[in-house]
Amino acid sequence: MQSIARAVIGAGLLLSASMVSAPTAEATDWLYCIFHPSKCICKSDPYRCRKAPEINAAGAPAAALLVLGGVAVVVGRRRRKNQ
Amino acid sequence: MQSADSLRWVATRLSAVVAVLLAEYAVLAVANDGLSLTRLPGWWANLAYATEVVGWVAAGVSATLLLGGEELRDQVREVSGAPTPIRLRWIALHALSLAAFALTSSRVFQLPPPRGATAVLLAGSWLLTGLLLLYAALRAALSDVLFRLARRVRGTVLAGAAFGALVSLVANKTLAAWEWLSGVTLGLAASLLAPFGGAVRVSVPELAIVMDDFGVIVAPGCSGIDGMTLVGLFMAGYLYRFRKRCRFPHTLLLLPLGVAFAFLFNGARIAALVWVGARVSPALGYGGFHSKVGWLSFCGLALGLAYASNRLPWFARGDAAGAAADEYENPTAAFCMPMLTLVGIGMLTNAFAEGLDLLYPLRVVGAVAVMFVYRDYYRGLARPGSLHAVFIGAIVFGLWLLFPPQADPGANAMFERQLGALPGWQRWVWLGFRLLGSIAVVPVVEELAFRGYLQRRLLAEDFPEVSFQRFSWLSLGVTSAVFGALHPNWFAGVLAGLAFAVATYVRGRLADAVFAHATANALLSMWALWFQRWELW
Repeated sequence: MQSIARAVIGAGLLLSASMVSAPTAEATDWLYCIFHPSKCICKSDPYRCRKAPEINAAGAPAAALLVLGGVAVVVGRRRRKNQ
Repeated sequence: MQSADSLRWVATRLSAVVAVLLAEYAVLAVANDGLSLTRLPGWWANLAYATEVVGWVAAGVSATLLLGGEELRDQVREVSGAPTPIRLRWIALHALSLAAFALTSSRVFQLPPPRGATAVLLAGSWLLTGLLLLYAALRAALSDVLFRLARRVRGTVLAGAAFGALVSLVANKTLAAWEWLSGVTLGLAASLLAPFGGAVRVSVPELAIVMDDFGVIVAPGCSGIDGMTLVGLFMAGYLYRFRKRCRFPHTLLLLPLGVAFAFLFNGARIAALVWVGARVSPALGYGGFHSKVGWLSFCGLALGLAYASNRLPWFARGDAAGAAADEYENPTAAFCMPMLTLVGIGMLTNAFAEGLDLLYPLRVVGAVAVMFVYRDYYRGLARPGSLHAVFIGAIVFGLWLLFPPQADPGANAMFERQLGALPGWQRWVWLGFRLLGSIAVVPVVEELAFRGYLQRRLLAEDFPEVSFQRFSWLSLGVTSAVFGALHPNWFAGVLAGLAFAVATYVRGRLADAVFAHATANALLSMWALWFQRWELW
């Protein structure tokens, strides 16, 4: 059963890993826009505006915080010491 | 040397190399505009897609690990032995090649692009220096361990690389097929909109959906692929990290379920976008609504899956899932939930706001309500503040003015117009909640999460027992960096995070960081109100 579990998780990981290029490109563009906001607004770059990384990526830090913090809370439960 | 130790040092050094390479990549990404190349004609534009390599490498490594299994692990143990010393000459070569790579990158991403032989020479040197910096980093950290290992398990590595490349290729090729998925997404969105009446039209060739007079085009990128990939990655990582808590094979069902729900949620998101644009406000529909709702649905789905795998008896291992709630305590929730509530409600209300977020008071009420639920955990923390805390707060205020977030005159004017348009009492109530939130609630909530939880959790798992005065560079650096990343000007945010950590270290009291934070926010609020500098708020 463990090997089946490993194979299925592995297949998911493999498939997901092969598709990380697009989010990586998005994150790269997002990093650039954080430090060069004037070059990423619609008025100065209509092409980028169409892609709108400033809109797409704007929620990323808050979403990351919410997911990582939420997971920490879900797994953070522990049995009371006095029991 | 114990075999577990030999595995550990290889894994630790490899993780360090990955962290260093990621940091260097981030610096180069900030310095160079990769997107500018994509619209160029000719082969030069392909250089902008260098990030494809990340997918190939990740898939190749995953496939090698999968195919290698236990045998690969045994080989690593045999080959690695005792930790090798870190060689300075390889670090020096890495630094030199990084400098050369940075230099060539600045020319590669500069417009107009070079032509002819210069272009070939530049692209060649760029790729070579990139490979050299990777090689030197691996040699510095792991000597020749990886290369000896690769020789021993040559077959597995080759098969892994080939299999990874194949999966990567298939994944890339199927990207074009996502247009087909866009059609399915449109159909799903149209059926969800049907009960609301009105004329809903779908054009599959144009990938467009129209309700009344409002229409959108569903680009391949909006077909749900991003969300499905994110959920797939999250679940695979989660199941691996918390595998001891999971009941296999039942928990595995969550992986395809998560991906399927991500697709369905995307259909619902497109339907919501069209409905909001057609029936509520076209400006809201064409703005950032779809993106904000996308992030929200990803958060909800990821947390729902994590909760299911951890608490539902059918998915979770052991008695933890079914045990009575009063047998457990959750200090992590006490320190983090107020912040998560504030951020979660903020994301939700922001999705429906154009400029002024009229529902801001909900954030304050939500965070205060959660703190009331967990009030027993905070009893020992409520102490009077000190003069040094006020002083640190004043310094942070100065830093914020020195490195202000970029002002957007349009957004500021819209904020003033919308605030001015509110009836008198509503305006004062909103401003009252904004001040209360900024000066009293946000400092408590953020300090509980960052200095109270994260800074101490990075020192020990049993974080409530860790003194607020216990110091480590890692906990200080990571906490301040994460704190900074959540603020509009990350640099000022990091400096503020460092300052609030110092406030905690001085007397070992979280209350001092809260007072420093409240002082800075109070001064900033006064400044923003007095000079109409809304970007500071």
